Amino acid sequence: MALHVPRAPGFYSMMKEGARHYAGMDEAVFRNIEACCQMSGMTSTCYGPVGMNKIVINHIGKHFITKDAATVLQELEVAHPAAKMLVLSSKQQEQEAGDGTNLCLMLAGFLLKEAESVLRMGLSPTEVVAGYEKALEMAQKMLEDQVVGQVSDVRDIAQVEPLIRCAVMSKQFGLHERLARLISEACISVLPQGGHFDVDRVRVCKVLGGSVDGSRLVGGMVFRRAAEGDVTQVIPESGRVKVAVFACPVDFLQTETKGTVLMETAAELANFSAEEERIMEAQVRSLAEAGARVVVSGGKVGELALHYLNHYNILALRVSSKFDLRRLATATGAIALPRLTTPTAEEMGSCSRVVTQEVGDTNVVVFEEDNCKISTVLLRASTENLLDDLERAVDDGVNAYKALTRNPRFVSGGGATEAALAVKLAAAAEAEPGLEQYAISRFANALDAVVKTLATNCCLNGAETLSKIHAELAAGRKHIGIFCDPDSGESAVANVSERGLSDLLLVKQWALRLACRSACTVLSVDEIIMSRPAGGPKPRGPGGDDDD
Amino acid sequence: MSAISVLNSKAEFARAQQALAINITASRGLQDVLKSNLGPKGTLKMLVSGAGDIKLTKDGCVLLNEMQIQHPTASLIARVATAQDDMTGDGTTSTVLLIGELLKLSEDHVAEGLHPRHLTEGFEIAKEKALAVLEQIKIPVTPADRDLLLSVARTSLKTKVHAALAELLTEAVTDAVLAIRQEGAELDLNRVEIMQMMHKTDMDSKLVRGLVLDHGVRHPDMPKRVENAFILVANVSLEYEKTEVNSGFFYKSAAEREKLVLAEREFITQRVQRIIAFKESVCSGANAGRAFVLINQKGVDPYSLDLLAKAGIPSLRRAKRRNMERIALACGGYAVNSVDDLAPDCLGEAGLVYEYTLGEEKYTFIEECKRPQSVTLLIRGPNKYTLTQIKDAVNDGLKAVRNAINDGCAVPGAGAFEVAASRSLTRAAESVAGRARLGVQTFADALLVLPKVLASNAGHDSQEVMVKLLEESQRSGGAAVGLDLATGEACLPADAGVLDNHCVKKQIVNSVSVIAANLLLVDEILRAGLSSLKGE
Repeated sequence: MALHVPRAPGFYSMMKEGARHYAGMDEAVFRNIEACCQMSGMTSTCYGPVGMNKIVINHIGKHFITKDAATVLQELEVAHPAAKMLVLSSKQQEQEAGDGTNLCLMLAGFLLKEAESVLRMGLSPTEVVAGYEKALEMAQKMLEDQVVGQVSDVRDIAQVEPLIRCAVMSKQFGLHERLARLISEACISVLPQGGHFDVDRVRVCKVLGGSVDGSRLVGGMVFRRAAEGDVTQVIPESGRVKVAVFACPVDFLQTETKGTVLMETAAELANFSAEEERIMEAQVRSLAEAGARVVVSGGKVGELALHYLNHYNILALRVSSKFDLRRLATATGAIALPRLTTPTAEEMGSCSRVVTQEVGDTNVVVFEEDNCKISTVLLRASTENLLDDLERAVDDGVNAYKALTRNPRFVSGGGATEAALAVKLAAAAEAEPGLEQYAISRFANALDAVVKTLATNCCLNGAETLSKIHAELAAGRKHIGIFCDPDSGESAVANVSERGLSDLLLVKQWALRLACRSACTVLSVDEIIMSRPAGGPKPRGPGGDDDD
Repeated sequence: MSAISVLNSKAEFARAQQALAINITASRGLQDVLKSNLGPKGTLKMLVSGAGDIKLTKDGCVLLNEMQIQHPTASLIARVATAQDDMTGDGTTSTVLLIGELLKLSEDHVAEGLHPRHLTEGFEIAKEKALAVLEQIKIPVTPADRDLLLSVARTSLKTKVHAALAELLTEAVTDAVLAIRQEGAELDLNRVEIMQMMHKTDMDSKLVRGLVLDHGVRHPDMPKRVENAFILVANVSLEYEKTEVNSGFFYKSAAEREKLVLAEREFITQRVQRIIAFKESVCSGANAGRAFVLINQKGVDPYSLDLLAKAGIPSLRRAKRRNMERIALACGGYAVNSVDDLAPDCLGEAGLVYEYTLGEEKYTFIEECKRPQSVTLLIRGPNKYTLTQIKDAVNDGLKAVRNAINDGCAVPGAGAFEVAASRSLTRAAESVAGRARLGVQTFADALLVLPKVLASNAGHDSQEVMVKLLEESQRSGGAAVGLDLATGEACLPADAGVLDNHCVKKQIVNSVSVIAANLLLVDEILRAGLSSLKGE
């Protein structure tokens, strides 16, 4: 390190060249607030069932058309440190609750915006933070009172579907009925008895072409590749199809140490091939005798092996993903074998039907099974973009179901919960003696702003709608929110609970908590020290997978 | 012109008053930056690294390390603070503030013509006196007194994280240190593993009386949760290994090749069989039905995993070196290096071993150990910067408890020591002959910077608070009076449970007087040689 004898006095001369330092209210706090508000303002137009889509082109030039805030932010690669904290909190929301990322982001943005005005009024950030934290505590308690009901049986599709529908509605308005049905069925079918719901059990297989109405649910697994050999259909006359799963290539065993074939005579050469054939035939024959009708390989399927597999009328499929192979093993009840041996009865898996189908122009191999541990949603749509967006909607729906199994209680949707909380918080703020009063009432304002945004996105006048909702609430009516009619597309203020609009309590709880926490963190930073950006390519997320 | 510029025209230099001015401005500059961090009411700083990673901190040491300081004086002070952190884990901000204040106050005296040497002599006398005061006001602490230890941990943690979290971590940190403490042996904080999991909120952090490993079992068919298990810790390679010499196989037929494939693995397979046979032997008779877990420091390849899975042995591969020792401490038993050494007494025991999956990350919990001498602090948080912040805080908290136990005493915090020492130094100054008296008085005044900054960070008037504290100290006849941050009034920190480490204060007094003296005595800063290799 070459230190120089300093010339200029002051703090800047102490740091490396290119480092930046922001301190104080104007430089740090307000700038952070501004950056966060701009970002959340950007995604706020996506909020709600009739929010707008965004086209995002990421660093490798891939297009995304979506209104999923999490996706937009992820692909944008936000660099501003304060805004990044909001992004992190919305990511966390996705992980904890699987949905409500936009709500979390927007609320944090509005909280900061509201904080700005009280800060300008003269309150210190610590006071605002204390107030917000108090408000959060109150809001969480009030949220408990807003619970409309709970799902008594998570296996009852009639109870589950409306909730999934609401979760999907905000992503794919218009298609939500169909998707919600698919997702609910898929989730319920793979929920183990007395166990935890595993989101990994619901798979999505995207096949380009057709229309969304052509999407369907398959009990079992669907692989988007053709069978290796000539055998494409295995439909047992009676009983079940036995499946042998190998984690290794289906080919000759190879030594790890380098091997050389040592030949001395021409006869030996001829014998060598003959013996290879004999061994492979014996191997495949024993597979066939053990009853295997399908062989799934984790690696490549050798030519000779394929020849005999065809010969013995065994369907061969190569699954290159190790995780898919494990899932298939779970689905069929097989044990993936590390080397090519004949599986015992326990190691052999089975399912009711294995067929190759042509969906659009794509060949898929379908492993079907009644009461399977894994189900696959086969999505059809006309463009890649739409498919990707549908997949995200399905993911959200599946996560919503997971949240539902953890906490079956729900609150009313359509902004009704936020509006009710805002009114109550505003009333509670009045009764608060200290300076925290201001912050609490701003928290209420931020919640109102969320409702207002929803109204604006639904082509309503924000302020007018909000006042209408407040008036209804003041008149003692409950669950007043904004209802958007999927048939006509018209929105109006209504009792949303009666219209079946509900959101999961868990999602709201986490959104409130994370939004408040991130807003408070942004507020409590009064100084930013930035090193000069490092040279070289930007580090991408987690690198390549390890040996797993 | 300095003589050096004659010898080397490229040399940089600063002389006499200029050199002193550089030192003083640098230390005051650092003081300004760190000032707002001090105490429970200090604010956060956000650090953005070159790669764009965010770090939030209140910890002076973390801040100084991340700031990439280039100023020679500032980096000298930063190093003192780092040394302070390495030794004691706390007091870095105080160190920087005190150095800054000492130099600031000395500046006036030097400007009036006092030779720095006189001041530094005074500092030396003041240091001895201050250390004597420290001995007077200390409070004895024994490891059995959990409440006092909690107070020490709480005081340290409250300056790093928000109050509710500090309360939670206080218990965890104290219990962790008490768990690993052994009578007569030195405390080894490495026995506390700090594991981070990015989920839930920071308030879900907790102490696990056992171990948490950040990887899971490697085979889908292995049991994910076992109870009442034997734990075998091994450092045995269970994967195919290449020979060291260049080797190859020659074969004539495919059948021979098949045999060779099996033969080359035979060696490893035998090892696995030995372990399986060992499991069968220990899990028989009275222990029938008990589970058996293998934790291996080396690799376990898919074939071996398959064999182990069939035998119902959950196996973890590539455990970290440091965890090998920790597992042995937590569960008992010892690590074996060869399958020949397998004996029932090498096995540890745990009541519960289970795998926890978090997205793509897997964690293995080893809990319900009988007498764990190694424990894990499990830190949870919604994002990376929260985790790092808590981790830094936890490290400091652990050190605080350890220091308290090692010192056998603690010191009243909340500025109590500084006020007491300042008063006693002011009195002592009167009996010091010569110009060194000014040095003692300067030190006395400089010490008051800590209560002042504490007060102003909490939103109180620093002058008013300082006068109140001095008055109260006088009235009470020299009791350790500190500042109540909530009210801005004087309080008795020892009663309020605000306790600092003895060694932290000792280290601060020592290093501050030395560094301040060093900086004051500099009369020339030189940098010989080329300023860059390109030859500007």
